[in-house]
Amino acid sequence: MTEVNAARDTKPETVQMTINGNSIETEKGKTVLEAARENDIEIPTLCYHPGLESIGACRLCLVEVAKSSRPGRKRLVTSCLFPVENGLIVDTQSNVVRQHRKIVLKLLIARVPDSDVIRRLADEYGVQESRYVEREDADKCIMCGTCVRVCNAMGANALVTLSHGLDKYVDVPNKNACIGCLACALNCPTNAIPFEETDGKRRIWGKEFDLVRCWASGEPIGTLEQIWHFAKRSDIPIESFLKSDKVREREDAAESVGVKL
Amino acid sequence: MAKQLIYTPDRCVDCKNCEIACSFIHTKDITKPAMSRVRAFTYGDIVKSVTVCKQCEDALCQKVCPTGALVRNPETGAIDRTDKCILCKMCTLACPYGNIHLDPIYDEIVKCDLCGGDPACAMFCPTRALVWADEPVPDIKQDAQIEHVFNEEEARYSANRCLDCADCSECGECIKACPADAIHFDMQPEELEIEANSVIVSTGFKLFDAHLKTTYGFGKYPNVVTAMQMDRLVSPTKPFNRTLRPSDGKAPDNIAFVLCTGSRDCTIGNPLCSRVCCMYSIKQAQLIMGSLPLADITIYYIDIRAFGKGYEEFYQQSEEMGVYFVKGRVAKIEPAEDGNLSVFYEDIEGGSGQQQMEHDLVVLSVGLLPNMDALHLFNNGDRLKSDAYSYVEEINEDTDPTRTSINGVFAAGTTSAARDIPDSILHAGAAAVQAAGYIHQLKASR
Repeated sequence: MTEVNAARDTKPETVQMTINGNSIETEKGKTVLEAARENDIEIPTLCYHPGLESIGACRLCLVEVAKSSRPGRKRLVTSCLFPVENGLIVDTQSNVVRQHRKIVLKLLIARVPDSDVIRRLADEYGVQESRYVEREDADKCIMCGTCVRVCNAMGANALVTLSHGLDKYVDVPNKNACIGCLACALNCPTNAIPFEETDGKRRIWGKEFDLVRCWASGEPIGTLEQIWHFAKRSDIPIESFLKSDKVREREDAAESVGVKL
Repeated sequence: MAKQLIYTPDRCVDCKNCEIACSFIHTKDITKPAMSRVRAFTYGDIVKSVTVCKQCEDALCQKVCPTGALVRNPETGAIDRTDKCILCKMCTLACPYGNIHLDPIYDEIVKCDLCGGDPACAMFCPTRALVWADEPVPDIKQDAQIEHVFNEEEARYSANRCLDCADCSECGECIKACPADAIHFDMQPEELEIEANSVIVSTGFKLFDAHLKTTYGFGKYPNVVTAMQMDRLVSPTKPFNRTLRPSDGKAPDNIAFVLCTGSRDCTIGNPLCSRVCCMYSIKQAQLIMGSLPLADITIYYIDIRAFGKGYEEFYQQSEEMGVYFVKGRVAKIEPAEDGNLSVFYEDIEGGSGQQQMEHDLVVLSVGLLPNMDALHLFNNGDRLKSDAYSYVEEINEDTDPTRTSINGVFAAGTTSAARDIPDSILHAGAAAVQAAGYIHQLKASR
């Protein structure tokens, strides 16, 4: 018992490292990207999401690292995956890093020429056009896999990447699995997932959902599939989901002064 | 017993100040009471109540979150939403009290975080119906020693002016009632195709984001504000009818303006002068002298660029009125006691080297940056060419103003360089004439 308490009381191990010449202190187990963002040092990312497992797909977060014992030997690593360690020397804006980011951006422009997000990032690095061949009938997807990881975290597991190599794409093979929660579309870094909501219907991934309306105020709450899924995951009876959050808030407000609406 | 938010219905005058304060503190640019974390709900005389997240001990929202994005803050005891959120909206459905929402405009989950330990809703409650305290405030009649910001009559008057703009339940009755069919709830952005002979690009500028200048600590220290926020604090319709500083609502008596924040600064990549900051800072300094006659005002500058008719005289006038002008660039701003701020600068004219000065409110006069969205307007065929500073390039600025790299496209106003209002109007006039001439030529050649 005392051992457990002692372990809880000791602070996590700290690590001393250098980013862009500034020496900083951070906790062991974090990645270089997290340590940099804690200290207001910006590293561009597309596929990184703090809530999801990093996969290093977009290659934009490349940084140059070296160990203090051999500062001359520099390596390029993806900062979203590389763990911090004592005496690490990181450079996020060196010439080599900028050059590599430029190549990545040129490749991205060739893949998604219409994306504003990519164009804006490219402008920051002075990349105007790509020397690679533009993809024919290109959409805005950069194959970063954020939507697939989000869907996995939601527990729906409807989105997967299909095929390999150049033909790889994201889709919902089993239309029954999609719950229409929109989490994939809202988290997509390039807004590549189209959806629309009209007349109480929501359309996404080629499937049409009926929106459930709050029985008290009539505002849409979500799709029926989504609510079923949430009820199953959280063990809360589905009846309590059928009122919108605003109506529940009002009822709670009235109840706190002793009135039942 | 730890502090908590305590609500006394008897004292509440239904002014909805708590909602306005909350949304003003939390949303980025605007006050949007509909997305306030605290909800003041009234239903005739029957119900009068304020509800806010209870920060439950065994919270359902925290339990259902798939990525662990809702974390209890050990300092304030509040459950904070971190950036791990993947917008699954499960928490909004799970909360039995409905105190957690999805903001449909910014696409983020909004939830009470107790403002980091000093809730704005309680701070701005005029009648102390909502307090952040250990025990409830005693009854109105026993409470004579406490000075109110409003007396009861004034508070009731203010409450009656409220339009209840936050109370839309989206019932849809207004859609049926509107004879012109002008109200749409599910309107989406739509793209229209218009055939035109000539285009005038007047997309304006982007204001410098003061967060980027980390040595000035904007966003970290509450009493460092931008000039846009100061404009609100000194406007004729300012909140509370007095100029107050953000951290504790005290009337500031030693205010500093830091010119050239985000302009003429190679460390953030903008070597250009923004042309307007000197004059608007001097204007604000004069306005502050109106609302706070006793306050000391110091303006730290590199050069005062008061060009044009009447501008230099305006500068001289404010110097005579008692504004201190200090030539020297501010290196950094650090917190001092009592929410005050230490400003470090080099005294160039006095020649006494590095200096330090304490102020209780620091205003950053932020500069103008190019709006790079303009460069993406023409995506197929030629792209709009930018100059070395990412403004839209005018091919021959002096002899053929407003003409851009694309034939028939003209740039007006701050699209092509930083300009003040009279210059922008003049430049827009030039663009209009150029466009008219271009169309005339086009028709003649047909």
